[in-house]
Amino acid sequence: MKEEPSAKPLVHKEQLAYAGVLDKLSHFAMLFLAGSYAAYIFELLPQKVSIAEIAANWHLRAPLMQEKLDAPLGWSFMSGMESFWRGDALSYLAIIIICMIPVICLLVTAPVFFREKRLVFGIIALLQVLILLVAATGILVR
Amino acid sequence: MVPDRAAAAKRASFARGGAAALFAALLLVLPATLLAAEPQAAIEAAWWAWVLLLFVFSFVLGIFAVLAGVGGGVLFVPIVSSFFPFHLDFVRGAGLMVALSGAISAGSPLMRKGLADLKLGLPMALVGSLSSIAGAMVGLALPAQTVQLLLGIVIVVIASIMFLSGKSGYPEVKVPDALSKALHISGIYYEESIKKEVSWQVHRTPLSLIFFLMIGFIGGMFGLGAGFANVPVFNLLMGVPLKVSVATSGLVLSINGAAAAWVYMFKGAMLPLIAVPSIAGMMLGSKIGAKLLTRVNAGSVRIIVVSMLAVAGIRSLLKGFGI
Repeated sequence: MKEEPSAKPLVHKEQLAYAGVLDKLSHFAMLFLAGSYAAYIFELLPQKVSIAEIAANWHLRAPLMQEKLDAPLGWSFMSGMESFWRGDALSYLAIIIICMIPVICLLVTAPVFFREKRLVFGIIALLQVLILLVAATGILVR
Repeated sequence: MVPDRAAAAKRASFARGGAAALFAALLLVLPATLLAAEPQAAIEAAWWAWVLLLFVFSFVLGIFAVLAGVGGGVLFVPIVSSFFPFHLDFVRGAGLMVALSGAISAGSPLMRKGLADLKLGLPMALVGSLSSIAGAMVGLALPAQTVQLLLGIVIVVIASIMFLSGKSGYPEVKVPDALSKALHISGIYYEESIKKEVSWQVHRTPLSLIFFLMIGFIGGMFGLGAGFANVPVFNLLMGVPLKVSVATSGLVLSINGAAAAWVYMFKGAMLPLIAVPSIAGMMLGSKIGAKLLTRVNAGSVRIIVVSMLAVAGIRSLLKGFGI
């Protein structure tokens, strides 16, 4: 441990880049989450599956409920404007946005790693993005 | 401490332990049907009541989680799956989102201060995200009763670890290992409480990678945030200062959680109706908890939380056995 002089300790540029994007995206995601959920539960927009139907089946295993209700799943709600502009689909999109935040942060950070000559971490960041994107395609669970 | 004060402190400690034990016993004997109402019609009629109750419950859990120094997911999944009518699949999906959202919203300032460290977190997240995807796939493929039973075992083990394990504020690492040296995993941050810069380096990196592989699997399988395990591995195994361990654990679980959450989404185990009030409640509760942190006896809260975890674990075990 060292005595603190006057200057702040160095925080690497890539870390500041990650933090900057994370800050903006997390605020946006939380606002979108709140807004879309309000539209969902107060029925400001039409719903693909009604809340009452979800509540009547939420004690079932996920595949069973899916079989009965055909609720939004993966990217299914993006198939058209009609299926997208619904309360449950927008609320689902909010969850997707939260899951995509690390991907965007890493995509912004990877070039900074390369510029700062930290090649190994640039590659790790890109590999991480690849893993998250593969998971997001859903091919692993089909 | 003068003898009177020592005796008073001892009595207070006994009282706290007694209160926690009483609370735990009450939870254990409380019939599940009281909270998880059986008649389906009642559930259909009062969906908003369940959602509201979930929000309030998550809010309270959020307060307790911060005061006890644990992540939200580890409390959320066992307790909500034991006392609410939702299937464990949806509770696990919501649990991942609770952990992920909490880590994401707290992440930026911690990174700017140099507490959450990308170079320390990224290699661990890389292996952890792979195994968390695998864990989520296995967890959703296994029979629900088996998962419930395994969850019970994991939660009881976590409660025991929390009860027994220590922590080290500033562990000393004399010689960093070859891998961490090659990757330049080390850092420095300003510790406000002691007005000093704290520099750190790590050891046992290869072994820790194996641990993070296992932790990712468990986190994905049960929808737990896994901060309960990330922090001891960073702190006690690798020798990272406690604050850096806690902050970097958030970074790791935000990436691992995002990876596993996709499996839940594609398997239909992510219901916004359940996940969103849980996220909102937990995040608001965490903010209140952070404000109360200086005024509340964190030791007493920790006893209560460990008791709650133990009870939820035992309930999961009983449910797993079909009792």
